[in-house]
Amino acid sequence: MAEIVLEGIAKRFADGTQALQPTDLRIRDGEFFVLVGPSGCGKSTLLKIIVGLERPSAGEVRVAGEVVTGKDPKDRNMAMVFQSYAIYPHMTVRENMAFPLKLARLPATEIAARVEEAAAILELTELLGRRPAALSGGQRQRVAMGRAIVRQPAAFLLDEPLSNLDAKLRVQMRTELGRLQRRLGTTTVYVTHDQTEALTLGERIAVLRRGAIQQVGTPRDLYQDPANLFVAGFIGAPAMNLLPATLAGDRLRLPMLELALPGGPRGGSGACEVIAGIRPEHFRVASTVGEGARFRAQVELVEWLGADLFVHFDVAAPHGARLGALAEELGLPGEHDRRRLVARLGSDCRVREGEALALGIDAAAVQLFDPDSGGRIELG
Amino acid sequence: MNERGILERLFWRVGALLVIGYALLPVAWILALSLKPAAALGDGRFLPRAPSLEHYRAIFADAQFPAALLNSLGIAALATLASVLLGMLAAYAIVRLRFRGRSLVLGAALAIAMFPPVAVIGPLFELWRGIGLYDTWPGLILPYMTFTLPLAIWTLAAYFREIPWDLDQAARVDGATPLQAFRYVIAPLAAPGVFTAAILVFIFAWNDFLFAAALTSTNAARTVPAAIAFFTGSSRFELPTGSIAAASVVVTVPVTLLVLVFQRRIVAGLTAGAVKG
Ligand SMILES: Nc1ncnc2c1ncn2[C@@H]1O[C@H](COP(=O)(O)OP(=O)(O)OP(=O)(O)O)[C@@H](O)[C@H]1O
Ligand SMILES: [Mg+2]
Repeated sequence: MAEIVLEGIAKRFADGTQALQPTDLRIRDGEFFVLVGPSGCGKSTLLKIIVGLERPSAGEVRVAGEVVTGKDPKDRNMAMVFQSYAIYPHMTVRENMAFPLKLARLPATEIAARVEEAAAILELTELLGRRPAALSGGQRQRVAMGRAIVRQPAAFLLDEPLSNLDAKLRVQMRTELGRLQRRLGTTTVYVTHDQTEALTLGERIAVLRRGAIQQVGTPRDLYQDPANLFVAGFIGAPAMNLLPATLAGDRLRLPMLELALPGGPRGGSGACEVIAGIRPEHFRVASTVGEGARFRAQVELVEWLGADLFVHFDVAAPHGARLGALAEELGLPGEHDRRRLVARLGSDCRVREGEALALGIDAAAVQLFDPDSGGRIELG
Repeated sequence: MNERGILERLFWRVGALLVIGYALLPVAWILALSLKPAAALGDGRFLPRAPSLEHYRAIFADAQFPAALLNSLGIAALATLASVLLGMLAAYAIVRLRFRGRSLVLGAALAIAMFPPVAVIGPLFELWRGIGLYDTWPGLILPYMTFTLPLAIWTLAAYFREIPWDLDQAARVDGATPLQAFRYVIAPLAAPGVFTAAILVFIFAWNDFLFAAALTSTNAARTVPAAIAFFTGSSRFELPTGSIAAASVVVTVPVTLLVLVFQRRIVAGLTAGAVKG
């Protein structure tokens, strides 16, 4: 168990790829810390630097106060679960789990006891004699976890451990993983590109983009107070609706309507371009808002999920260069002169595709971003 | 079963029999010859009328053949060991490390394999005489190693490439030194490749006549293929056909055994289950 501190860690590969910008990160003792970001943003690289499989080009890694930057992975007492599981195919489940203990030269009785214990925790007892080839995907995943927990390591490093499982198993294993970590209380760094996984598992989350950390915070922080456009667009499913808008005093002019922002006019007197972010749940069917501004949405698609109803509609709005690039990076829907928005409404709303619907917006919940820097503009 | 199925099976059976017959006929002929008494060698029959082991007794009675057999076994085994061991390390480095000139090494290895051995025999003969390797075991092991190493490297590199890199890294994180990761994880997984390479190298060394004939002169290092060529009949008017046949049968046995024993080990798909596939 240990606190992991990264100071000024950067990584540049021999071929010139700058996989990580200088990064500072403090992962607390016993914390479930999640690194999330799109594919290729440097998550695995960061994890491999922590575990020692890659050397950082600059900076320092400290575990429990001790500098380990130059230490060999075998001496770091960390356990890693690979995306591919990387369990040894020529060994049985028992041998797989015993392997790190054998290397550590533990006495045979101790090894047997620890393997039995870990197997019991992970419900692998019946499978101990099997080879990996005769296991299902979920079982292999558990073997990989088992090999990690038998060692009682200083930290667990998990690199997308669930991404090879089918959707149902993924949800189940996610819950089990969270429970296991709380039970063991071991510092855990969990890498994923799936923001749902990040939000459900992480005590704290770091959002990574192109090798640079965008924001570190609790799931609630990231969702409610995204530091910039990227985090706003990345966290949350369906994604936050992003629209070009004009801010003049306390009036926010959106493509489909004008809103009065609470808290009175802001400093600058002139109108300025901003990007407005509205979460799907901050739309209301207009009659329930009462007096507030409303607009008519032409419903393109309705998704009914029992408790929620997601209504998709288009808004004519040319997006600037920045929004376009971001939409492309995050795979957000919409064409160059139309934005596809999503509203989450109560399932009692009986709207159908092709119909028009009057919607209002919860003005207090609208978030504004600088179109040039992408940074958050604080309101009030 | 329908008519077409029967015909198809018949076709494959007959075809297989033809091929096997074609391949084994010379072997059967040699075996038959080796069992014929000296007087009956030219009788024009395929099967010996009265099988006798006299040629076998004769070749083992002479000191030359048992010595050659020992030389062959020792030299081939040592050359195989050295070549496969070096080949494993080289192939692993080539597959796993990114060093300058990686493809150059592979290319150079291939070029050596293409190089005609005949071209080096003359210089090698002079050189070996000069440095005292002529007619010694190392004098044959070295060229065998050199000419089979590329084969071993290429075969093994192909196998190593199939082993996910994550497995090395997992072993390193689990507390293994690079050498331990290689020994406990990578080498066992590459076992089919190791056996394949070993058999190929062994057969090359075992069958070689060229180097053996040119670089040896006495029982100290002369191997079986060369020794057979120096067989003499019991009188100067008699061809040693029977002895040659018997010796040929004897040298075939170890190679056949080797292949049969290790064939079971050369099973593909040993890495199944390492990663989700
Ligand atoms: N050995 C290497 N040599 C050169 N570039 C590399 C190397 N390993 C990774 N990279 C590059 O570094 C960047 C970050 O890679 P990394 O594997 O950390 O991404 P990731 O966030 O884990 O992505 P994914 O979600 O797809 O696993 C990528 O652009 C990748 O191409
Ligand atoms: Mg990765």
